[in-house]
Amino acid sequence: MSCGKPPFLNKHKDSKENSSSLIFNIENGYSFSLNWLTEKSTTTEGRLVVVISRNGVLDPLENQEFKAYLFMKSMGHGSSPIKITKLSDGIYLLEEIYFIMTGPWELHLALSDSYDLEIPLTITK
Amino acid sequence: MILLIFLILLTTQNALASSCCGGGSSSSLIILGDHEAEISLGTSFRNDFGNTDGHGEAFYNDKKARDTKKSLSLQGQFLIADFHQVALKLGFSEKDIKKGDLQDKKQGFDDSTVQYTYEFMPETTYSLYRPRGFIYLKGTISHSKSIHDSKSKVYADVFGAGEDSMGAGFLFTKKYGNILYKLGHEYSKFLKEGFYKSATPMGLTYSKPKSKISVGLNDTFIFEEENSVQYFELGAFINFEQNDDLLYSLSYSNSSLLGKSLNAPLYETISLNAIFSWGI
Repeated sequence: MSCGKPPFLNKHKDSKENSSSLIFNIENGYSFSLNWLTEKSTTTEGRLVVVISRNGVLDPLENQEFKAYLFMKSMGHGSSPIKITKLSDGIYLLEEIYFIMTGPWELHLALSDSYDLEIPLTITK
Repeated sequence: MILLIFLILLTTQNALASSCCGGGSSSSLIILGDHEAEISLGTSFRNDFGNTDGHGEAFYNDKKARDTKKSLSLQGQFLIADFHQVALKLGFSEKDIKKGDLQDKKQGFDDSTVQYTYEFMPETTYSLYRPRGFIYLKGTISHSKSIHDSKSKVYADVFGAGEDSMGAGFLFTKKYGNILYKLGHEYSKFLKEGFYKSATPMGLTYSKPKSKISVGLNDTFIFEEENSVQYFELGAFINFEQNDDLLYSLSYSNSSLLGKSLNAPLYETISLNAIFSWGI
């Protein structure tokens, strides 16, 4: 019953995947570009700029609402609400992003109820 | 004594909870010795230092992070008739959590447990192989918020599962020479969400004849259906029997030392209990 490596022998190794800029293309020509302004960790407030474009043009999202939230599937909970500030058409500043524990998280970026882009993040410190 | 119990009720914690952000394993709430009643006053300190993911990889908290829980508990088990017992456990805790820029400290009641136990396999005559056997039913009432309705950004107000549960289990004990062996299994169903949790404790206690000191090891395998949580809690304890009516127990447990752990918290707990008993 105690088969398998115990946690103290199976520590996660940092993959150094913390690139600060990422682009995700989703349906209907939408594209999300993520530019992290801070390190992704449990020790600092995360800040992120999201650029939303459609067919290469910044999208004002006239009939849609942009939402963002964190979730940790493995533990079945999320985190506190992310503060979203619209800087200009298609450009949003996300603040108060708190990864309250290390491990695998999912950042959800959603457009009304049409799209929900799930971006996996591994928080190692 | 009444004043002491009142103070404990005002200031105390419990260990039955959802595994993330507040949980742990349970004690058996069963009288095993020749006593009519046992009352245990306990204090414990739990330090959460990380968690594991769905692949079993361990993530440790930053060294500057703090996630602790100080608890007081009151537990009583009573023999109400031959082979029939009832038990009650209450607790009160303080959680102190600091994760990066977020910090919170909260106090609250832990989950309360009531239990009825029947000794279906008593040891009325000596047998080399036949153990003592107990079956029990338990109800757990939650007094705190769950991680889903917590008002604290770091779940400092989560002191238990956040919902009531019903459970049933069994425990077998057998003494060979100076060693007492225990093996049990417990199944609990959460009444609101409907998922189940199981705990499989096993352990041994070594006591030298005429010695006031005994030592032992415990290992409990815990599985929760929600989020497929599984982990082992390994513990060691030392008991000091001051006299026939009073025993002190110091214990340490850790969830990172043994077996595969999935989606589970990594924590260590140190506890000190004073167990008062009344003989038959």
